[in-house]
Amino acid sequence: MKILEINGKKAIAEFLNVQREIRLDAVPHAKVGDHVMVHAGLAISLISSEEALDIQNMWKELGEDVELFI
Amino acid sequence: MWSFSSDSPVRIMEVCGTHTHELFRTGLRFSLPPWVKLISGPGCPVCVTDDRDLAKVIMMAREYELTVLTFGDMLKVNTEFGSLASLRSEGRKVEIVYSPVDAVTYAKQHPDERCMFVSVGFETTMPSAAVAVKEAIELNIGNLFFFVNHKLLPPALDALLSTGDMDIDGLILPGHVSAIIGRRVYEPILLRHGMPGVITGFTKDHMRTGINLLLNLVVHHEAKVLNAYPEVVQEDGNPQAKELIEKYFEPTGAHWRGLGFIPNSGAKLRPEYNHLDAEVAFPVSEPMVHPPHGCRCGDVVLGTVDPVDCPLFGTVCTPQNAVGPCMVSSEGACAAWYKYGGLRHV
Repeated sequence: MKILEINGKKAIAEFLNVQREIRLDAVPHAKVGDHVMVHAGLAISLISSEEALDIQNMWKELGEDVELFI
Repeated sequence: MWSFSSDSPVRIMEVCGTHTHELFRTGLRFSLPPWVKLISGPGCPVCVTDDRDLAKVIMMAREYELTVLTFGDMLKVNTEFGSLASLRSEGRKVEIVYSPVDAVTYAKQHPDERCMFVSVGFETTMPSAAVAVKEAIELNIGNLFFFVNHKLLPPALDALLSTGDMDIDGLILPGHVSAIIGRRVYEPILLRHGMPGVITGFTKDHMRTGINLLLNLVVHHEAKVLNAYPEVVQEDGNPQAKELIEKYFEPTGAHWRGLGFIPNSGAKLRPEYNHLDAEVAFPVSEPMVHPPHGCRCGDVVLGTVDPVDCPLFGTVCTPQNAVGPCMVSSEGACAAWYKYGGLRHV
């Protein structure tokens, strides 16, 4: 997910046009514009924009409703 | 040097349920040579949750009139005591949450309800659950309790590899769990068992690379743990996530479907957070449970049988009317086989 806004340890992040509030407790150096891997509402790792694109493509190919999964 | 054939294949276990599904979905499973056999492992958290633990949740909800907050996959898992979905039909509130922190938000918004969050999952989910515990304390939420049933992967792998029945040549290790715990933690376990392993991501390219590296280790008899997902997985994992886990949880013995009781393979709240522990607040007697008749989910998570070897698979047990958790969970091996593989050996 791409971080759009940061408010303390909370952030708004987006993936394929779906926005969610996530927590940044485990990636304290994350900045707006960074891509993060999110699990159960918590960012667990920073990822490169290339990796983020690969994951986006995988989901597009999957064709399932992203909102149900993120 | 080596001679594998379709009669005597290299046997690779993909430990993680997401890998099982992605190997099917991307078609990679079908494009492997016949001398490579993939076996699904115990990496689906819903599938390895023991019926007695779920039965306890159901008993607690009934006896103490609790609102149950849970991840969606847990809802339809059946026990002799019913399922979380059946609690709903009895008039109890069972709410699906997207993250553990959502459970805190729900409890805050419903102060007149006593809420229990069913906290399951491997090391990947534990930091998120730890943040929820932290938040519940900071916001002084008095009506939220945690039923902590987390599972730790390394002790389970150790137990799995220690069972005499396992016939595995290498492990595809999970990318997301490893993002938290790192690569190094696997080394003493896998080396002790002479077992190669490769930490692998989830795109088709990641998985192809991971399998190629693993096959290379297997055919050269090299028991190493390689990291084929370095963009996400560090040598020692995510230090902040591990700190959160250690602050709020401690290891405890846990029952696993298929694997039985494994010492130090689960997590519970540390004693200083006992006041948030649902099992302390709402004690129930230990339920006696038996797996559904004919269901071989326990053997499926061990990888000793394929889903199609279960007599219920695809007939009595389907995603629409699932008998065992391996069919209920979206990460379960039976659900993957049914969706992508059909009723045959693949």
